[in-house]
Amino acid sequence: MSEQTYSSSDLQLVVFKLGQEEYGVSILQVQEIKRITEITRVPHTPEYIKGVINLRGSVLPVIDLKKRLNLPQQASTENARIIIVKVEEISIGMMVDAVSEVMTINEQNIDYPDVVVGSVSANYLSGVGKLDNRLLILLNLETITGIGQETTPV
Amino acid sequence: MDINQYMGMFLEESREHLQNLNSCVLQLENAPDNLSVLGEIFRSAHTIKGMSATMGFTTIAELTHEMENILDMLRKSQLHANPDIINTIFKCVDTLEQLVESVATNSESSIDSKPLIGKLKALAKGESIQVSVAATKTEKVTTEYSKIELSDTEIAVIKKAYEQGMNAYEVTIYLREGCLLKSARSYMVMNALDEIGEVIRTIPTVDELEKEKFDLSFQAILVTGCDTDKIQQAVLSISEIERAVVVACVVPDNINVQEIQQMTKVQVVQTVPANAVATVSAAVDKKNKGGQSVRVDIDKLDALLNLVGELVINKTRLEQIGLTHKLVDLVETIEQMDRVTTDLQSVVMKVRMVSVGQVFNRFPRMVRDLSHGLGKEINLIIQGEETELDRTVIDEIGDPLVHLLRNSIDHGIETPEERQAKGKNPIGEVRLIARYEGNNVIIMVEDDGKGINPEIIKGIAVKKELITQAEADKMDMNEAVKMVFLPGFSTAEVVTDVSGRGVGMDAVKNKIESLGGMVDVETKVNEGSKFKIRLPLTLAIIQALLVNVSDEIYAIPLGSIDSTINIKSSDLKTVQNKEVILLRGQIIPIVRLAHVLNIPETVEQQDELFIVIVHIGDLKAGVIVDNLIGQQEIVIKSLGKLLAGIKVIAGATILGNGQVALILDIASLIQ
Repeated sequence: MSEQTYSSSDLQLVVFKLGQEEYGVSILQVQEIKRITEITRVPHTPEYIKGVINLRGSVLPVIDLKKRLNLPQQASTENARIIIVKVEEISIGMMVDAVSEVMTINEQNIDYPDVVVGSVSANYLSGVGKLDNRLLILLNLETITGIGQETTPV
Repeated sequence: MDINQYMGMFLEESREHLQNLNSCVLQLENAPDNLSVLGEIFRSAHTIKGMSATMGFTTIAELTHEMENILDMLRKSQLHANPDIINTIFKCVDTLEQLVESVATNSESSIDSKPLIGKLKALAKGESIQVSVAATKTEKVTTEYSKIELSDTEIAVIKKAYEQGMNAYEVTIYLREGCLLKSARSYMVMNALDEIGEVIRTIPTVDELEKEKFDLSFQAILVTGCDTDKIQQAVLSISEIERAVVVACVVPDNINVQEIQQMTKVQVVQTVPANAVATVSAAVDKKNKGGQSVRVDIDKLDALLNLVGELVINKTRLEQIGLTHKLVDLVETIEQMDRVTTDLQSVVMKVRMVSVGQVFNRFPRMVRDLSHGLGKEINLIIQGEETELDRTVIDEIGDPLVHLLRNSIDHGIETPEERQAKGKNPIGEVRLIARYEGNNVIIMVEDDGKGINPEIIKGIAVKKELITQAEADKMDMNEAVKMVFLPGFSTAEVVTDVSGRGVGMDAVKNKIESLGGMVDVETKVNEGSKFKIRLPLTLAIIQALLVNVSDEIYAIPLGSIDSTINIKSSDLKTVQNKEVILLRGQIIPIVRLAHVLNIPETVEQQDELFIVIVHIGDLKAGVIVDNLIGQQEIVIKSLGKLLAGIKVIAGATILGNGQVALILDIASLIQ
């Protein structure tokens, strides 16, 4: 998935906010963006799994992305959204603080650092995009959702 | 001809017929002179041959052809079904299965059917001096002239026709290449022929014509007063007919006795023994009267079921709107709608139901082979094969049952000598029983073998370090026996080909539990063991009781609810530090749902408690909830791969207001 998108030199990203940091995921992995709806808690799941929601008749798990990335918690605002992404044919919701825009970034502007950036462990990163003065943290959805591999405990 | 579109049908029907062959040959083994069974075998073999020849699978066609010859001789009592012949036929069926599967997987088949064909031929020649062939007609697709051998009745009809000054013709009709509606064309031809005379026979049969089971040509025998030109005209008036060949029928005075013709041609070769066709069409007639059926792709049924599920959810939503806004008209209309959706749902569920016989069918053969291999004599008794289960369950239940049966035969039933020494009937008995029980289906595998000795089980479990000696000493019989379901457990001292690799029973348990069922074992040393599988009838839509715990809503499947009671908190007793209640003289352990589900207890201790008494098998438990909401029909949705395998939660459902509620897994709640 990621190979495909990175092979073309332009990359379209959905940019969203977690706290003050800006993050991006490839638009090809995003199915839709939803306002926060009622989330049903599921017992006996890792803490970062917020629960399940009803998306037009099917039940989807929702990840609390800030918990998953070990970011400080704060009360969600009006702007909070659930981004529905598809990872290896599985749809998952991710709770974010706000969705800001869709932007195009050139591959040349993406770095692949192997050190920890900000507070996010390198494991969950697929790169860092630089755009003017902004830093965009590109997430590796496979490791974050734990699909297609062993879940790494946070 | 593009055969791909027929491929699915060919495979499915071939498998069905092979299955039928297997069970019939088994019957034949027990009753070698049963003509109706022979007839059935013959028909199945014949159909496979016809289909495979049409599809161009010559290896299959050749083998079935030789098989058919033997069967025909058996049927005519020119041969007697001795073990050698039965075994050869079994081998043929096996080889055919392999051939069909290699067609299915599109792999080059490395299966050599030559030795088997040779064996069949030898059987046919070696054991009967007068090898007679009912009628052998070889027809290449390209030949223009062929001769149909006639059955006695047909000859009689034709002779009578001669007496009345009419003639019998053999009409071969060739359809134009690329003809789309072959069955429709053939029907039109038959109609045209019927107008000028009487069609006494078609090759292939009318039924096969309707199903388009022929290539580009087919034949009919026509008794008519008209001449050949008239017949030609009648046929050619229909479009898409390439040409029609009309030849006068030759009526033999008596049926000739000839040698079997060697079939070495690679072309499509078809043989039609005359009276076989007669019986085939008779059987087909019977079937047609019995009822018509349509083959439907299971995916389409799943889609239909999903839609019905959505409908049910939306209906519930409407119901709620009607109730909250007190719209009497709407509520009344929805009540009507409710009836229709309930009916619709039950019809769709029924459509997906398949009888367990489909799975059970293959077991007699397996048991026969196993018992032969192990030198044991076993009588397999199957009961309740008409019991129906959801298609998805049926597909999954086969392997666990194979495991259980193998275990019974390998570990359970003793050798005839041992049995005699114990004063038992030397022939062991294995029972496979299916029946309904409430909202469940019970499948039991029972044997009268040596049973499971709890002491031996304990010994092995300790040796394999699954439990400690101290734990073993504390265990009672039942617990000990249940250890056979532990991973890595195998009681066989010698690992045989059949079982004993220690992967069996826990795999069985896992599979059954993943289907929402449970498996249990009862055993008595030297009297036998009984494995009992309990499965839900359907997996998709169930009745459930909705309950409140704190502000969360959970659904409890109604099938596992005994009753709901209302008690004072002072009625709670403790036994060994566990909360229990006394209900009608029974001590029932209590489960605090809030605890199990990690719900922070916000509500202060209530004086009055709502308890839902649930059960799984004989186990009962009382579940404390905050409030009962009511009974509702729910559509079970999976939580998806990411959340699969969570204890205590069996799935999710969507409530009338669009909210997701979780369904409790009672089995894991009780344990």
